[in-house]
Amino acid sequence: MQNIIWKLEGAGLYGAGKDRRLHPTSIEIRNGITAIVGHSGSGKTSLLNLLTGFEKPDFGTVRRNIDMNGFKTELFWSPHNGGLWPHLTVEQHLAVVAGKHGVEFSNTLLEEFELSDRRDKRPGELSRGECSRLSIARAITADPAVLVFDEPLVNIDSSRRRKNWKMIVGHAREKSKSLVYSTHSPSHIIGSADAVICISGGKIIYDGSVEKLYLDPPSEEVASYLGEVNWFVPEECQVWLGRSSEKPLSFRPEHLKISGSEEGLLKIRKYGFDGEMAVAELVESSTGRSRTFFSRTDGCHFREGDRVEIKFKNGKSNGDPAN
Amino acid sequence: MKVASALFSAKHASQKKSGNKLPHSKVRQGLTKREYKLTNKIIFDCLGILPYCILVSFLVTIAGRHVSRFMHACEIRGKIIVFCMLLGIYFVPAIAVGCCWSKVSYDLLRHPPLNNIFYSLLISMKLLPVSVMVLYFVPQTISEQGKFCMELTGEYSKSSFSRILFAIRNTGRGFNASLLVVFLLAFSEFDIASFLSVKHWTVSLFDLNAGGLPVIESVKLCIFPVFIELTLILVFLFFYRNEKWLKKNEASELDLKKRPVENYFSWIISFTGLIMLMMLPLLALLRNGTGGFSLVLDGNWFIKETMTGIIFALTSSLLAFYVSGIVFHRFAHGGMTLQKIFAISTLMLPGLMGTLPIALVMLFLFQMPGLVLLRDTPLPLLAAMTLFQLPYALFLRYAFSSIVQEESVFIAESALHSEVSRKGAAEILWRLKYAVKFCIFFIIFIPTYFDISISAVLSPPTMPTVFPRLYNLLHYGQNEKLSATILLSVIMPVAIFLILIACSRIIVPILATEEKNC
Repeated sequence: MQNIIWKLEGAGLYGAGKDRRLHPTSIEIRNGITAIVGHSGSGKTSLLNLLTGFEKPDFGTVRRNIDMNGFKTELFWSPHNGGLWPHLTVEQHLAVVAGKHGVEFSNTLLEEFELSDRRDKRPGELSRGECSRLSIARAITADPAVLVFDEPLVNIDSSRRRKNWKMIVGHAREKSKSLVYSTHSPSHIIGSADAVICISGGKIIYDGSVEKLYLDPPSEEVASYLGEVNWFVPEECQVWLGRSSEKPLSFRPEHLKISGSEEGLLKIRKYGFDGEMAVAELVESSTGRSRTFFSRTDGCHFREGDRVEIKFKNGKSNGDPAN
Repeated sequence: MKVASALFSAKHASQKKSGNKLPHSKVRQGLTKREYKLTNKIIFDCLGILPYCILVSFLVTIAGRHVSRFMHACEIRGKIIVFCMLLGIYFVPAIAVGCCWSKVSYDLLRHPPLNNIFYSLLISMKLLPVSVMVLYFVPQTISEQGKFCMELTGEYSKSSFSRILFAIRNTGRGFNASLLVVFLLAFSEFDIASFLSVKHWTVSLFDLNAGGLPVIESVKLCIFPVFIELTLILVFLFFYRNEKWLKKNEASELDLKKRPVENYFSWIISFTGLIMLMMLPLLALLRNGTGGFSLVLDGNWFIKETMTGIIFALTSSLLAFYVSGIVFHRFAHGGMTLQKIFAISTLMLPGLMGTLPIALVMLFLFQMPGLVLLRDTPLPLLAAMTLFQLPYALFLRYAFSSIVQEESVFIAESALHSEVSRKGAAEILWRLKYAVKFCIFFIIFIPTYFDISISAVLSPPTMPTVFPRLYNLLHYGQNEKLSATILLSVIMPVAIFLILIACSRIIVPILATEEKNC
């Protein structure tokens, strides 16, 4: 059983006036990689501030139980503004936390985060992306049992983002460290995180496994945190899926495919490709109703008026009775 | 009229002398001729000095704007040098400035406007550091990018009035704050005005009070000048009541273009101020007092009164530092609510009125039944000094918090837990947290220690402080011993502070690491 490293019991924070930035929250965070996802202003940073101890809860309690397990320190934090030390150079930032025996490791990290040629610069002379990379490198160099990152890649250019993220997750897994981070990006959750916490308006709306959220989300809103989803309420199932259902059904883009079919009941109104998936607006012939579908494309391209059918991962299509 | 009528007491309604008839309206209000004359004198002195103060505030703010822009754009080393020069200008005590320049002022006495201009020039140099600090740390309500977007819309170029209003509301907040603060300091200034025999309401009032005018009447005479100050402050607060007070590092990048003319101007004006207000006065004291150092310690009053002054200023600085910390942490974040405005105004406004009004009001309060028993204790002096320091302490806390991220300090504190990073983290904490606190403390301590008016009015009879005595002695002329005494009184606290900082530099990191070890 995974150890619990944080336990929040009714913990929360006030905002301006009587508003609550974070409503009373009771969650447990365990060893492993935990993602915190939510829209801007939802309370992600407030939650991370509570976990690190940077802010004390205005109500409730936050209990921390981190086993150092041979690491140099319990926890290290990379906040959204970097939290850098303005009078120290890049090299000195890592030297402070690395100690004498970590020089080689910190040099390696400087190389990996492409900061070697900036080692003599101070934070005021670095770009935002470089400041973010330095903040992450410093946290990793500190060798804590738990890493806490607040939107670690938000300022990093897209060409470096995948590489840096792979380094961060790879380091955490290799050294058996726990990682708690906030993000907007589904691609930094799926395939990386063990658990995910969804937060909206200062309230936790989901706390559980990534897989369950991806494949069987409790609501369309929560489902959307892990990317696009084709969500069908029971009334829509018969129209679009050709079958009835008592509860909503959801299909991720890779679970359905739009195929051309002369006998298909659906027609293309609009079709486009956004780089990751196809976005199609389809019209149902008999009722005239339309809706948007997200699917993974296999290179097919459709034009307005084309007749299509939707095929599901299990091989059935919307035209099949009771699939 | 309401202000005038407040100055007059009904008790004196019956006092009239033949041949000295008062205007009928004043007789109805029960005014004595003496009160009428004194009130008019203070009002006229206020109105007489007002144009010079307005001129000073504009000139200083315009100059300060260039210097602060230069500081924004220049490298860290240049910033530190200019900052130290400005601090040097600000810290020089009025008594040293007065000693050096009183002879020039004496020659100009036959031409009062020229004397006032000369005084305004000295005061402008003295207040330049204040303006630079305000302009540097008070952020605009709009970023440079936001300004540019506004220009792109073409909306605010339609009329010059809308441009002016836009500038006042958005880009002009720091400018207006500097105008206000410099005006308040110039309008309530006493020390240098007294040495240069300037016709200033503070000098007139101080002389009247020292000459035996009852305290209640002295306090009443403060009403008109305080009314002017309060009006300006309330207008400013009202105008900017809805603006969120962004931290400096939350605002987008400022205008960081390097302007060569601005560079030269900034260096020249900083050096000029340093020479006129620090180097020349201190050199004059050194030249006059070289032979007097050995005479200073005759009689033990010097050490006793200097230490008394240091202790009072230290104690009030600690109190002001502590109270401002509570206010800052309670109200630092978010917008200006009514509650915030009320709390800040109550605690901060008295200090902005000037040292003399605070001293006289405190004197009056401690002559009332119930408090009169405490009149001869250190309490009135400490209370007045603390009230004076509070607004500056709060502003400095705000200013320094805007250049040091709380997250950076927290991470350094967390790094103390690791044996590997403990030493480095302690050094970082010294720099980001403790040195900053020392800086704030030092900046509020020094002017309070050098102040003359509060100490002169409120020092307990058995605990006099050094500067009022020196001020009185200077009116009889300078000599070797006096110059040496002034120099030593100036150097002593600075030396003590430097020793304290040097010791703390070593001790604090050790204590921080010891605490984590435990």
